[in-house]
Amino acid sequence: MSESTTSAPGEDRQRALRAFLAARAAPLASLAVILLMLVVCNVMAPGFVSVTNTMHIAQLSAFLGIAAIGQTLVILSGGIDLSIAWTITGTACVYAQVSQGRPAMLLLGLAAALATGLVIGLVNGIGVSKFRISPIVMTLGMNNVIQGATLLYTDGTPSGGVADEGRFFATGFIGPFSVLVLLWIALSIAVIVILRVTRGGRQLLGVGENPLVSYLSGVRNDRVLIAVYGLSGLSAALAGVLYASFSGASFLGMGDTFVLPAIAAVVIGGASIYGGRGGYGGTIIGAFFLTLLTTLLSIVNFSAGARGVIYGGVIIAALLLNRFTQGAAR
Amino acid sequence: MTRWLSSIRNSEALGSVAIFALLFATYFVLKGCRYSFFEAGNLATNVLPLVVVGLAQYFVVLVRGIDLSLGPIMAVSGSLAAVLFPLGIVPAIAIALAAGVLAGALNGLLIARLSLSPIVVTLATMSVWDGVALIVLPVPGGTIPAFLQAVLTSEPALLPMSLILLVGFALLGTWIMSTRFGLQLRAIGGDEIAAEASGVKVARIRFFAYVLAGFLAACAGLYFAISTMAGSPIIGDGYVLPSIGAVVLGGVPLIGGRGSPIGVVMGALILTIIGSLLYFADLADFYQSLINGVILIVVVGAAAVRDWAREALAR
Amino acid sequence: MLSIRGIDKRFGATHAVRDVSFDAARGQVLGLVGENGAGKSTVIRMVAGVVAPDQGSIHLDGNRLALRSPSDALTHGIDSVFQELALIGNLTVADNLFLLKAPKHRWLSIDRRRAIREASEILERYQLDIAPTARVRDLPLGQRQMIEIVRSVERDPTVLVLDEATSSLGQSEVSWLARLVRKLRDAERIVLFISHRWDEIATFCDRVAVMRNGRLVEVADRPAMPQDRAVRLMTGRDTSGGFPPKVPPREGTLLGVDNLEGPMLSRTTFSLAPGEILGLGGLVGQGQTELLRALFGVLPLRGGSVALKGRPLRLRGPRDAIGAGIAYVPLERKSEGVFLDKSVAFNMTFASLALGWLSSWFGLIRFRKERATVAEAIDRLKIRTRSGHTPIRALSGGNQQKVLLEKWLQMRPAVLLLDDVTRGVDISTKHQIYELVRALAREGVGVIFYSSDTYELVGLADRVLVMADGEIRKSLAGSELSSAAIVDAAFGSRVGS
Repeated sequence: MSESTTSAPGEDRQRALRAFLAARAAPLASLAVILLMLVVCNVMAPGFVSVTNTMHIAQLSAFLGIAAIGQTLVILSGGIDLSIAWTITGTACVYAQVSQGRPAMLLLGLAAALATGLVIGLVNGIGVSKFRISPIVMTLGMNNVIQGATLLYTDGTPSGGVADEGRFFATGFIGPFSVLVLLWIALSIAVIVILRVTRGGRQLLGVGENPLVSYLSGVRNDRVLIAVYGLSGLSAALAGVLYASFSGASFLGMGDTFVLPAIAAVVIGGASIYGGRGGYGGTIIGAFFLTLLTTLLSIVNFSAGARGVIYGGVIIAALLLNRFTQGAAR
Repeated sequence: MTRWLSSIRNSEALGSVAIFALLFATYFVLKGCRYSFFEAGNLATNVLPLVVVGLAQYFVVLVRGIDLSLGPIMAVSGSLAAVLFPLGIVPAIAIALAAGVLAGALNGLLIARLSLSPIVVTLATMSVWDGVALIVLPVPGGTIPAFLQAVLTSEPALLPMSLILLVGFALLGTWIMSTRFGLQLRAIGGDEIAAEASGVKVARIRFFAYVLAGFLAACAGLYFAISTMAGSPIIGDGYVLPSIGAVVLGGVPLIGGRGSPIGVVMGALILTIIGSLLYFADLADFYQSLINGVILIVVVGAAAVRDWAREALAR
Repeated sequence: MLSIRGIDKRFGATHAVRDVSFDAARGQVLGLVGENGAGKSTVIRMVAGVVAPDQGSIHLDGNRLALRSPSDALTHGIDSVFQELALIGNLTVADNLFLLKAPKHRWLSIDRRRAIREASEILERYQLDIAPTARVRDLPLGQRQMIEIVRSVERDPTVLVLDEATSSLGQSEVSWLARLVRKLRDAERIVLFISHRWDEIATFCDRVAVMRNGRLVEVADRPAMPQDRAVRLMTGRDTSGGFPPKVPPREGTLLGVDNLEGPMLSRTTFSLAPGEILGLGGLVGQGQTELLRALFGVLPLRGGSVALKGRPLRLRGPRDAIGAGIAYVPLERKSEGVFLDKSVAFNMTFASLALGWLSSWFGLIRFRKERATVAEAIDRLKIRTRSGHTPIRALSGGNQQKVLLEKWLQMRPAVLLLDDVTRGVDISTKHQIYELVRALAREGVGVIFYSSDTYELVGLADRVLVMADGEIRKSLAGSELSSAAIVDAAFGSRVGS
């Protein structure tokens, strides 16, 4: 207990820097790999790195990034949301089927889709917090329920469509900027602000790291969890709506390709899968990284199988990187 | 026989046995009372992969884990066998099963040795093995020797082969749980820190739980490929949720430490019979996934409510 | 012979063990004594393979041992029984006894019938009246501790480590253990014994090693180490003094507790005056923690009532208690008290933020005010930390505890519940905490604190309630209040049982 508590400011700064880097090893490494990939691509196909191309990849990343907002919050709370696959599909079907491709019905469709997502998320949250069902079982079960419900609702073939006015949000441009990317940036800022400078954000990090401590400090853990899963359902619904707008219609299984990447983006972003540690900034990098990776793998004609293997490998690498830079603290 | 009965009575499987009996009776009546060994064999054939992969999941859940990659491991083993059978039956089967063991060992290494999160690790390896299965066998097919299917549909001692296998796997699971390994699995699930302090090699036992799970999943995949006469790279997806469902329905809590293999077998049977009943009721396939999901949530939620009630009574 | 050579261990900022060396010969019972946090448990844990020393070595009969896990230690014949039990609650007594080695039947199957028979033989041999098929979870604490001791002794270890293994044993059970230890000594085994009770050290041990602040201060034969000398060496001071002067509590009733019934609690009735420091004593696990938790709304009550300043309280959760002005600092600092990964500031203001203080509209945190509050508290409580941003895990136990106390002081509580908060805290911080608690009492705050240290109860409390089996057995105050009286009352119910 007698060691000195005063140290040179230089040493302090160094220590702080080291801690900062260690907590962000995975996102920084993926940032480096992103740059490397871009350089290699530009060498192999000169002109690859252009404003249009970058904007295009950012646009593709936005779907994943928005779907991963909820996943980030849920993982920070110490849980996981595996129901976003069919939440995305289901809400996209609701959106397309309610709005029927008619501009006048667009808002109604949007409201119906978002409400559906919110309700799904709230039910997840109630199951996890009030009934203490483990998040993995609750959301995996919910995924199946939505799958069945969607099939019943669409009778196996989704119909309807998205009017051009609606498609603007996913495909439109304002000057050189994609509307979708601008929307993503706005949402990102909101999420980061909520996490870092509000009471709710603090409580979420507390519940995620140690629910018992947070309960004993007077936090209503169940409310925090219900809110978090609700937001996850909402963000999945938004991703579904935007993806349907991008494609012009909804189709079954459109959400399946989001679950693993969304979780991967969060893990690559350096968040602890045990909750309480991380933020949305890393997830943004993770989403961009994974989208770029997918794009490149399909450009060089990797089969779906090889892509699956590489995807899994990347997640394990990120997990290991987090493990060895942040310690195995559970 | 009395020992068997008492072991069932003492386990948490009692509820599942009762539900199974009820459902089986319903099934029997709906079928117009034309019960036969053929029917039983049919049911056993349908349920067997789920029983085996459910047992695989059971051993992992017992040590507070979860394995989402078991379905894809099934796909890899089935696809490998389907591709390799021309090289000879024995090497094909050996390689298919070895692939399962290897896959399980990878999960075990990452989860038990490096203490990474079971959910994310197995999500990642799920993607890896899904990919490997697609590389091995891009489209369902391959060649399965007819002779093997003949063996599976044979009826030695007047009993359908699938029923014999079903009982065999149930016995295998029960046997494993009766060994020291089984006792230590339960100990780790019950209290990991106390087990470690008692001298149980927690990391090693947990590692082997995942290896065992991988092996059993490979068995399930192999059986599935042989009984359907084709390998398929995508069968795995349909087994992730049901394997957990069978475990949960069998009275095994997801926090580990409790539950019996017989319960898991019952859980698998319940899920399968519900599927058959839906078919009889002429309901669309859509309902199957919906009902599976609802069952899983309700059963786990009911267990939570029951625990509260028990706590309230204990007060 | 067991030789410990220069072992050293740090946990973050805490230098838990500094260069400790000692020997224990075969046929010797060595007692290790020291205050809470002196480092004796860490030494024992290194011998048992639970934690690895940063430096130094452990030798047994001339061989240097590399102990990476408890199971390594077991293979070298080092067996340990800790205060935190290493039995698995959902397994039966027989299963626990044969966890590593069970009678085999056919094909590796454990022969259950034989296991149960052998288990009951063992239990009988050690004169324990426990059913081998009972689930460990359902047994009382004392019996569990005895089963664990039996399990270790049955494995015939060269070195047996007993770390506070008597904490929940009654008097007859302790003499049972004394006979067992004598047998081990006669069989040329080495026993390392840790206990808080001096009379046990006196009856069990041949040699006594005293630790203070992570250092081994002295090793001597038992006769050369009378109690007062040991206490002086342990504390570095004489037995008396070190506590702030007591102040008589004010008139009236602050907290009225009437006939509480709940888990581990029965017919608990008492009242707390404003400015009173009320101690809870008794053996470990007699309902003290449960009482504190019930008052904080964490444990559901079956009956009875709690009133604060005459107003009855409905305690459905911590939030109700906090709203009424009751604060609780829990027993397990690491798992229930602090967010280890988070900063000092995060931990210190977490409860206030949860209550809505320190934030403005939309829940935006008022950072400037937070920073000022934290800086002021660090200064006032002399918390040793680089800054408010330092992760709390880098602080020593005592400083973490001060952060935790401050977290609740911010809400200006009317009643402060402290659950053995000085355990594992260094001496100087302990005294700071005593001063702090007394100062709060002088301001009229009512304090209820549980302590496993009777010395602390006598020194700090105005009145002590001794608990046994969830009931208040005795209330001691004024001249009646002494360590001996507390120990007598604590064991009162157990003598002859």
